[in-house]
Amino acid sequence: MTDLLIQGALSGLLIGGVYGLIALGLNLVFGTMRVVNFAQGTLLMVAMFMAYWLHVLTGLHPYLTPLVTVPVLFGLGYAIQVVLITPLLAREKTREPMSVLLMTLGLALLLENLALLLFRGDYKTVQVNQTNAVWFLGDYIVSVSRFWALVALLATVAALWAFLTHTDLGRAIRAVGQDRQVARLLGINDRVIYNYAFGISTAVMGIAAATLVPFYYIHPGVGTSFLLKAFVIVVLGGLGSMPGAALGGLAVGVIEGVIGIWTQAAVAQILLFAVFIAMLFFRPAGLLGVERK
Amino acid sequence: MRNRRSVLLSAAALAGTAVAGRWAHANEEIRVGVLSPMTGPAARFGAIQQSTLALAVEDVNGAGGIRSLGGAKLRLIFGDTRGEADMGVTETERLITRERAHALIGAFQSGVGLPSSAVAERYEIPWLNFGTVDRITQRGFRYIFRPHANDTLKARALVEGIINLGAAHGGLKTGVILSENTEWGKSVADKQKTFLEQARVEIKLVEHYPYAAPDLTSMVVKARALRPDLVLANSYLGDALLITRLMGEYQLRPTVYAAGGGGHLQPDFVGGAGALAEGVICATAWDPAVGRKVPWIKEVNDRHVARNGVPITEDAACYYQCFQVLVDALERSKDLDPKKIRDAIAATDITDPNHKAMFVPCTRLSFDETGQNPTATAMVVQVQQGKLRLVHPAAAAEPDVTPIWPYGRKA
Repeated sequence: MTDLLIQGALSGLLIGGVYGLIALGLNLVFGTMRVVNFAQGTLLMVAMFMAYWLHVLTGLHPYLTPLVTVPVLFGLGYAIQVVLITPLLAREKTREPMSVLLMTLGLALLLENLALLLFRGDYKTVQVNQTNAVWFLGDYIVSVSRFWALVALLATVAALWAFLTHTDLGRAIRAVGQDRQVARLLGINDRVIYNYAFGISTAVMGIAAATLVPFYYIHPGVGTSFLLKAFVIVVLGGLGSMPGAALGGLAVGVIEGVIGIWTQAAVAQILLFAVFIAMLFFRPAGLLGVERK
Repeated sequence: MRNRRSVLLSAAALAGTAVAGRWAHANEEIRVGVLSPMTGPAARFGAIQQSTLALAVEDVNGAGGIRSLGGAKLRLIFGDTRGEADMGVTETERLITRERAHALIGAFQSGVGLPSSAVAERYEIPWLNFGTVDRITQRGFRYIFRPHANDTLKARALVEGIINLGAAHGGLKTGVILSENTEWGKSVADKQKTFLEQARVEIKLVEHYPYAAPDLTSMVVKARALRPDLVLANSYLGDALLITRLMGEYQLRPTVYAAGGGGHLQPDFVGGAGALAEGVICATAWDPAVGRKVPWIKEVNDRHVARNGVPITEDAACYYQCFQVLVDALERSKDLDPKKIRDAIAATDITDPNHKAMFVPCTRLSFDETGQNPTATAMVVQVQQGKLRLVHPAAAAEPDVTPIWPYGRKA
């Protein structure tokens, strides 16, 4: 049993890499704009289709697709912010941006149905060297494709952390997240900062997609279940915290893996959402979040 | 001039309807409402259901329509369910009240068929159902009929198939069932467990996993530790791909990898799982390979391939069968009153294997008091070199096909 639990924890840690990447994107937008982006899962789906077609049409390995998808997705995210979200935010600047939240939900439904129209309900898969490949760690099995997802998460979170703490733009993003009024007083154009934040958050989906495509399936509805998990992770790790999102992702993966072995996968889901509610109740700032006044 | 004639014509038509009553106009078109998912995630299924029924209608109308009704022609009127229960209900209402359908066929997903067929029952319009959940015909309704196998009959056929194929190889002792946790997965897993235990296979784990879960590694790891002879999965396509790939990675290699239907039957599964799909055994109500023994079935399927580029699917074949059961009943009812059509369907008794309603073969096509065909059966197919081959029952199995045993052995 212990062996099984360790295997469950190990596998959970690896898939946690993917969860963490999606949560990173969600957290970046929430941390700066205080907007929950319901379209995050759908943007992941868009990124997965981009990676898939790049691989199929040009033979580019999925792991190299971020070279193309990350800049394109950054542009897409930037454009969504400029065209769709900024006007709504401006209209609602005196109250909580409720219609922005609904707009992201609308955008999610629009993109999903557009994908259904373009690609129908087909489930697409990719076969590369990493697909179905494993390494042995003693008696334990390490899935190669999921291992690279974990590496990608760690690399991305390190890069984002460095960017947010050591560059002017990064510091400006954090400043706006902490207090947009004060940031404005200090001469930061918060609207432009939002554009960057949304762009980066969308670009991260390109990395998540690259790690998923070799072992997962690509389908217009694929983002939904990942998005739900990302919400739990963001609340667990801390709203607005990058290391929190990564840690939360890994924690959720491990919890799922261990509980799934111990009882059933469905029980793990119930438990995760119970943790979600408990965190909101007792520690709304999450594990690594900062309590806001 | 043209206007005046059309006015006269409509006046005549009106008078005709008034005289002949609500339904019984002699040369009236027979309106068949069809509930299908034409948009949404299951749209590709709806498209093949539509193109298969189109062949059936052309054949019947081309051969002179319903003779006992003065050669009345049939017309299909489609209702798009989008695969959603509430849309199914709305479209059923529309087909009955606005389009005045004489009979209905549908609705593909059992979750859509359950509430939609209740509407047909209320309006007393006969409904020939496709959808496998047993309960559809077990609600004391009088107007709902199912000519093909339900989940119980399908589970029985699958277990029989596995046991028979395995008899020559020392049999199976232990098994695990991995089943998705919506209506279908839950209902079918219970029945499979019962039949397997009757066949003395010890079921060591039944897990209902969350549908479309991002990861199912822990379930596969747990199943592997039990070293089962049989892994039986009831999954939709995405989950089927994920589980099969995980079984490959985590080296869960049972003697038999079987599936209750659903995702494991679809071309995207066979393509996506690649070598890992080889040897997977699956229950199905129908497969184009049926045509290898019955020439007229092959002819219909060939025409479908020629026109649409794809073979007829299991569900579309059942739609075809439902339509032909209706045609047979109309010839006998000699009346378009839905109540009379209903009675004629209930009195269906077909044993001729060349009757068009035997498109989905069975020994005898009739209905019990619940509306289920009790002798409907399913067949067992196996993925071999990327294709589905019929391996059970022996009477239907393709003569030149040797079952792959165990799973994972090269064909």
